[in-house]
Amino acid sequence: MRVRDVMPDELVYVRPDDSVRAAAERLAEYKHRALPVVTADGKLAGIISELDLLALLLPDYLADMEDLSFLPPDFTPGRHSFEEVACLPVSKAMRAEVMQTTTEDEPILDVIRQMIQHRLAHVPVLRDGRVIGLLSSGLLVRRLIQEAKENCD
Amino acid sequence: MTMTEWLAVALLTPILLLTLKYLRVGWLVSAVVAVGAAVAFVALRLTIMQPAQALTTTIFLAAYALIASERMHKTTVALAAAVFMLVIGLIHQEEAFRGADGIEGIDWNTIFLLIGMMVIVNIAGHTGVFQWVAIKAAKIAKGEPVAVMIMMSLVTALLSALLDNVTTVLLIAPVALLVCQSLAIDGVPMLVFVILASNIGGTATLIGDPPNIMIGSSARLGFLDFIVVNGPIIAMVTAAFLGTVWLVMRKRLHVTAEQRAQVMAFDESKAITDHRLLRRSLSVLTVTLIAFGFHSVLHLEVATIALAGAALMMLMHREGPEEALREVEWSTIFFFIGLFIMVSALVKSGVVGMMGQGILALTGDNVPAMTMLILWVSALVSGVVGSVPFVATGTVLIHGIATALHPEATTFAAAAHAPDVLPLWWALSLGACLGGNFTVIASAANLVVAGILTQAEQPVTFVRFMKYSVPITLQGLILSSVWLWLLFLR
Repeated sequence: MRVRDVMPDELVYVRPDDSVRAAAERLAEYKHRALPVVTADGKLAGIISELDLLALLLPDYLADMEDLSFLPPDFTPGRHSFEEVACLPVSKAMRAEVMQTTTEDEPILDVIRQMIQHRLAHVPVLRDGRVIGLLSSGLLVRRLIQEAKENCD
Repeated sequence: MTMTEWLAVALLTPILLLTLKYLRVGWLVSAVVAVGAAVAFVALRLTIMQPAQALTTTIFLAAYALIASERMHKTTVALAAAVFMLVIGLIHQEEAFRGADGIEGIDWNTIFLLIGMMVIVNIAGHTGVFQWVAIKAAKIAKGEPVAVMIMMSLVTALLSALLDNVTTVLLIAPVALLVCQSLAIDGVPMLVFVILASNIGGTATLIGDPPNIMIGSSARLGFLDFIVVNGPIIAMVTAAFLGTVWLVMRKRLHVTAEQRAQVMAFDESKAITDHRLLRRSLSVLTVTLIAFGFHSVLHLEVATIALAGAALMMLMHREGPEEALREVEWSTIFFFIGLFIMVSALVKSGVVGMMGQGILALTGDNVPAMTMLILWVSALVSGVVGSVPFVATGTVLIHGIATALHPEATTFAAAAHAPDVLPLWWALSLGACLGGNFTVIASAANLVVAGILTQAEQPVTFVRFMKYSVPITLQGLILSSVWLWLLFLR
């Protein structure tokens, strides 16, 4: 099986200058956990995931703390409420350093290797340097269900 | 100077310049360091120094200038300079690693004390006890901003006296910032006070601040010596510091009852993440601290006690040694190793002896003048190059002075503990530790907190830091001058 056999037909993406709110809405609408960030000429700018969005709510100086359960339940650190971050551009929230990508012709096992070795849930698919899709671990698991026999007997 | 030396200077200066540029140091700093090194070498050669002495001094000065410029990591600079000195034979590995006649070499007592304490404190840090203390402090202050600042500074000073400053501020500062957020006040003054408190508190004990570890080890001064001499003055300096904070800040900060209520809603009992580990690590810490108090009675070096504490902690901690050792700040350790090798080369060349003679010529045998000179120069220079690099040189310098003043002394400790040498060590300790507050780059804890403020999008500028730090540091140094005079010089 190759990447093209499991790749979704439709490319759902956001632009670097879209707002964080727009990215969040698109994630929710398509029930995806991450989206590729694609420039106007089709190049990959980064990936933005649900966790990247949530990371905006946690100030950097708290990211290393091992426990925050002592905080009052209604505590919001200033400038880190969703209200405040919703209008930031996606480029401020995405991960730009995407090391792992693949192409349509790669065997699926190589993508699985990438996901496992680098602990990734998403690998963008490129054709001639342009983004044509995003493979996710969720998609592969759903594919496994289809492949498997009806039951385990 | 011989023809060969002129040629070498002409050849090596552009090479140094281009190498530094290649290492992304920037044109200005590269040019200043390279040309400065050339000028320094020629000047030293034409006046007072032999070739090896001038070369050692030049490498030393260039490395310190690069460390102060902050364009390269200080550990990389110190290690590279040290290795260069080893490779070209300015000092031999044997002399650097084991010491030799008159050369201390790498001070393994300091190195292993640092490693041992890092292991103990890092495991204890995972229990949440620092957060517990910080929240408790804010709640005892009832969320009143000035009272919170004073309480937060006080607990930081106390913890820093007993533990490593960097770990203390790394764990206290985020909680202090959260409290500032709740009170909707600027985080910069609060965190700068945490830094100042940490450096002041660390001065009180042998293990509180790396410069003291080096001084104690080099001067053969014990844990109790530091408590007796530095303890009382640091209590006074802290009181004066907190008094100033109260006087200056009390009229400036106004918060609402709701904001105070939010601070009171912090639940410190939830900060403790691992009660079992907490009980164990606090027992190990207590035993270790008590053992420090009795180390001279027990005839044990402080590094032995710190390593024993670390081993005990590892025995009790389920995660295993990899976990405990991973958090040793190896970069700091190698910074010390590099500095020790560089300083050993400087001692071997005889330059340190010349500097000692120079200071003696300047002050005669006027001990009060020498003490005050060391106190204030230590503070100012530590503010520029950092307290650790300065003290690495300062300790061997005082050795030079001690040997010059007491050629008759048979043992090293006899010269170092002579009544006219003893105040010099304390002047170095108080000057360098308190001088660690002068600038935001002067000690490691300052840089850690400045980093946290940057992450919190409230960066503190060099100048704004000094607006708070300079008056407090001057106040501490004036009190220290009086104390040293009362104790030793009257």
